[in-house]
Amino acid sequence: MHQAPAINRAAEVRLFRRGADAIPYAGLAALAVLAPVYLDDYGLAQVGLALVYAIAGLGVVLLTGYAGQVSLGHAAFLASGAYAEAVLLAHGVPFVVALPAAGALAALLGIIVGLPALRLSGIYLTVATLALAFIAEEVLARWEPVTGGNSGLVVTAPTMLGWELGDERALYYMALALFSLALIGSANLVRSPLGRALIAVRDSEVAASALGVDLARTKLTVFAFSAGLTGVAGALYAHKIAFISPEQFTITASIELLLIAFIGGPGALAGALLGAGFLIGVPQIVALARPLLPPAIATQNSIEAAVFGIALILFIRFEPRGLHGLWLRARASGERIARRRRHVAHGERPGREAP
Amino acid sequence: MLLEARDLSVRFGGVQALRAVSFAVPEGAVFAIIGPNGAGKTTLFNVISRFITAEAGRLRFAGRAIDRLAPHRIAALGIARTFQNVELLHQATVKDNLLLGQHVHRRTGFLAELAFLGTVRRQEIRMRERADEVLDYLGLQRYRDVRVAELPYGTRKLVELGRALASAPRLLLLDEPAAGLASEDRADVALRIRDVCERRGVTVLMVEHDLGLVAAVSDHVLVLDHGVAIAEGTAAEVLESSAVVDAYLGPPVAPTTPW
Ligand SMILES: Nc1ncnc2c1ncn2[C@@H]1O[C@H](COP(=O)(O)OP(=O)(O)O)[C@@H](O)[C@H]1O
Ligand SMILES: [Mg+2]
Repeated sequence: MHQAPAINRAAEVRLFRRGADAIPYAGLAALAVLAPVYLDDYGLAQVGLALVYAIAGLGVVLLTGYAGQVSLGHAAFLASGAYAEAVLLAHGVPFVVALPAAGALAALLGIIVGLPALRLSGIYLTVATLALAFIAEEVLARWEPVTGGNSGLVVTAPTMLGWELGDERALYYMALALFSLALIGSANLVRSPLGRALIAVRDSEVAASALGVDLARTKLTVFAFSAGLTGVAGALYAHKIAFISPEQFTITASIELLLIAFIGGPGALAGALLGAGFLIGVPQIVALARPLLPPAIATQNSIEAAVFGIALILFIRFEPRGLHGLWLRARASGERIARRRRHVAHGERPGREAP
Repeated sequence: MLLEARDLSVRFGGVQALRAVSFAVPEGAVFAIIGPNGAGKTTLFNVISRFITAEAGRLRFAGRAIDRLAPHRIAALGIARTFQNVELLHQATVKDNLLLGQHVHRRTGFLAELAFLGTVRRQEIRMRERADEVLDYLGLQRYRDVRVAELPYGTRKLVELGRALASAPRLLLLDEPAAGLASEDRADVALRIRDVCERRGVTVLMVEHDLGLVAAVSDHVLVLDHGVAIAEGTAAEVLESSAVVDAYLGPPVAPTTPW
């Protein structure tokens, strides 16, 4: 029998148990902050776009991966954030007010849609959000005085304290800062009572309510937060594209956000970033690979969609934890190899592991 | 009386699952409900948990009507339960299940948790202390960071008991706590139920088929059959009542202790 290690509850509650656990994240953060040094404007724009998608991806991971609720209407939250941002800026509202307002508006829309649907079982949310997606498309196309209809809206570049923040570098840092905030906030929720309640709602509604979890309220909270994050992502997206129109916010956008969660890894916040990277990265790789492909394939313009579809099927079949699951596997085998090396170095028989 | 049920009736389509059932559970007692499969025992628990609304009858807990409350409000009053088919979060660790068990003691809101304010941090530490106290009490400390999915059935049942205890309930509902356990584990469960009642001051309402266990731990027994309360009294009275034994419990059973 070996002695159970002493429990350090204070350390357990911290974001990083040991200082050393934070090192990879610090490295990643440094890499991200220095990106303008080693990336050109195009690369920076792509990474920035991935960060924007990752903000919405966090919302989807929390809603779908943690709480087990599926929304097909996140395109509507993306759109409400983007249009709110464009319209508010056009009316002279300062950027620092417009951006949170865009998120708040999307969250409010989430509450309005979620309030009736979330009292019922999960499938009703999916159906209600599907309806929302279609209604939103119509509204964007027809409410011309505000949305500009099918001719779309030009988005004014953001300014803060008299500085114009419209260039790629500024937009990149804005996306990085907001993603970091969203990530820390989400990580905080996950290690709080609400985070445990989300998992309980997903795994057993019966147990959750017997333990005092208010199902409707918990689902509504995470749905509104998810919608709000997606609204903020929509506002940033509007700035990145600088021009918005209804066809950017069709149901395809909702499905892309779900893809981010399922390919990245629905059970982990990191999955949002990995999935967003995949979504943005695949078209780049396809573009590079196109000249190398046989002409019959290279001339197809739906190669990306096929790649996403095949990746999704492979992940669901072989690694439901997505890209994050692959990372976990790689890390586990890395640790196994390291352990075996140590055993060999100590003259022990390899293959046997200490408990 | 801590829990009072008056004339509870429940119908599922053509099945009358409960028919005007009345009983009262005194504070500090172990109260057992027995009866054959399909008698309505789990249904009765589901009425108390407010998963099912009785078509008639009244239910009071600590002098307060609870028949119109939402299910999550029941836990907040101090009623915890376990399930006949263990309802743990299987992918979560034992510790996380016990933390979830304390959800009724959550005092922080969404924004505080989003920022992980000091109040949230201190609450998390407090909840872990409480979880560890219960784990020590049940001898589960070595499984603290193990996922429930990796535990054998008997240990899971114990973890579910721990999760219910972690909420510091006044009333504990146990649905077949010994079902599926080996006989030495049953003896252990019997000891624990008695101890939970006497040392932790928790009133216990349990459904159990093992009559030896019922005889050993119960102060009071109610017999249900086809939704009707057909007998009630002390364990000795009820288990010796020939009508009950002959009609519903098979051949005579000596109320022996299981250890
Ligand atoms: N949700 C339900 N819907 C329909 N019938 C049910 C439901 N729950 C229980 N019943 C029926 O009610 C009766 C009592 O069931 P139950 O309370 O589970 O019995 P016990 O726990 O005593 O074995 C059974 O006939 C069962 O089939
Ligand atoms: Mg039952």
